[in-house]
Amino acid sequence: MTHNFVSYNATMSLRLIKYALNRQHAEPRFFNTPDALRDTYDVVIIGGGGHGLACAYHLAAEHGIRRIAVIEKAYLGGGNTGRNTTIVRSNYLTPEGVLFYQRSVELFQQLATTLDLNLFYSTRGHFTLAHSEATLRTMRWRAEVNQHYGVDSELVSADEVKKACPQIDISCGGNHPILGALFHAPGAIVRHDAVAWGYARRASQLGVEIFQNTEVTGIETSGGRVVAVNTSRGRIATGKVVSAVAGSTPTVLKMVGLKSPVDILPLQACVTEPMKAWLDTIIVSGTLHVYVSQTARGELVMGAAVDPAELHSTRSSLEFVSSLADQMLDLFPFLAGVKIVRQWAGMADMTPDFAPVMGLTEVGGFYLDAGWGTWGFKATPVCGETMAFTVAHDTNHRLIESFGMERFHRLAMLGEKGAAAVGH
Amino acid sequence: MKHFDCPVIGRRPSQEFVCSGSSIGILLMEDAAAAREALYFGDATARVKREWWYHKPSRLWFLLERHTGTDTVVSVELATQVHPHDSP
Ligand SMILES: Cc1cc2nc3c(=O)[nH]c(=O)nc-3n(C[C@H](O)[C@H](O)[C@H](O)COP(=O)(O)OP(=O)(O)OC[C@H]3O[C@@H](n4cnc5c(N)ncnc54)[C@H](O)[C@@H]3O)c2cc1C
Repeated sequence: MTHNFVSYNATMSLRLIKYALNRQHAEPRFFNTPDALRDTYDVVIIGGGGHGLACAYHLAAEHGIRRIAVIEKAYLGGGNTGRNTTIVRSNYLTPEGVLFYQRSVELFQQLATTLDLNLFYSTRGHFTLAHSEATLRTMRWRAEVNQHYGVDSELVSADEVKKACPQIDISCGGNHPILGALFHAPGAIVRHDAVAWGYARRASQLGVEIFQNTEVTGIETSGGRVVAVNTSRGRIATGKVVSAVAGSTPTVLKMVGLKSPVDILPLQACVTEPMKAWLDTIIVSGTLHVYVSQTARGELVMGAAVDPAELHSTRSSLEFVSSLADQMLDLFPFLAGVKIVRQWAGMADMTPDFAPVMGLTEVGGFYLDAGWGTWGFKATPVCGETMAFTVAHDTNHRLIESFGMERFHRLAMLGEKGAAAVGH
Repeated sequence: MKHFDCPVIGRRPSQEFVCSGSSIGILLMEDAAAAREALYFGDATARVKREWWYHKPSRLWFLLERHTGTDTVVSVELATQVHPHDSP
């Protein structure tokens, strides 16, 4: 055994040396970056996160638009896409939300094939715990809405939670016992980086040009329409601009003179040291402000609600980990000796009603994909699909019609808070 | 750990406070359309922002000027207009 292992390693390193010396690399790069920006593109997408890249892919694959530049100020997927806790689900509260996220789950389930890349999409089942009668009531309502639209979602008893996750303390230390849960069987987790890189590769194969380390610094308009984008590497003339910048949305909106219905608040997360696989479901508690899943590597990925006040920063805090650990131990007392090895934050673009702001805007040719707060990773594929349609036809896709910015003027809120505040 | 230096109560940890944003001031506005604008459409870029913070143990309200890019507190003022029992 040992001998085999050593010789395997030796073969590997020889292969690595050969690979390093060979100029014709057998493994092609995920995408190539052209040396310079062109003077003009049909569409410029600001933000090389999952949303921007998915939109580029759908524009090229389904709408025949190939002269597209994706402009990313830092590195690909380095924004919220690479910082999120990757929960995918569709058990939302409003009909608009349920239909939208349901489409995204469908696209996610076939995405590895679409992108020809193993995304480690792992269906786990998703429990949202209820610790009070009031929460149970909202869950019953959610289950009804979900079932009406064909989403697999049901109310289950505390016993069923215990059966699915024997390690959980149903009494929560006697403080706030678990009364039941909303169970959503299709709930899943997936490799976030792979999603971004997979879209980048397919988009690039179709002719999309991706520029990292390039910042959009201004947007020129004329007669109420977009005419050009200024970047740290020069000016690009274009009639269509998509903003998919999550935590930088207010800054980009200001470039076209629009006010922002989105506020920026940090959302933090952390992981433990790896341990033997014991948790195969996703557990969320809105009351305790925590959620947890276990990765294929054995780490527990944990998170909470957003920080208490507006802040444009990815700093992380001791307050966050200490209060999260405190609540987590109510659910899983046996984790007391486990170490947290890493924590980080992203800048969440929060809306007042926990639903997105998408589609056409008052500025001609300026399309917005924002308001993704703590819940937008699961929407990556459907955002790509619907934003591409919206840009190509200059008409909002039917799935995003009620997500427009003007809803705040009409007070036509979508009320998604009950389904999105903690269980991202 | 983050602290705020306040009048009356001195230096206190931030967890003792609840941030209520700017909306309390907006709710006192007379014109509904203007209030709606102020509530949902503002400058949300990194800036110095005036916001209401409620101190739970003392039930006092404070008005903070805080930079939302750096999290530095520029000034803290005791809010005397708000009834101490109006907890958020
Ligand atoms: C800790 C955490 C946990 C989360 N958990 C979940 C979850 O479990 N499930 C879920 O569905 N969602 C979750 N989310 C939310 C989700 O991560 C985001 O909504 C989603 O990833 C947004 O993707 P995006 O492509 O729109 O934005 P991003 O990935 O943030 O991409 C935007 C990009 O724009 C770039 N950019 C900004 N300004 C400029 C400029 N001027 N010029 C050029 N480029 C610019 C940025 O550098 C960035 O790379 C979580 C978020 C966080 C922070």
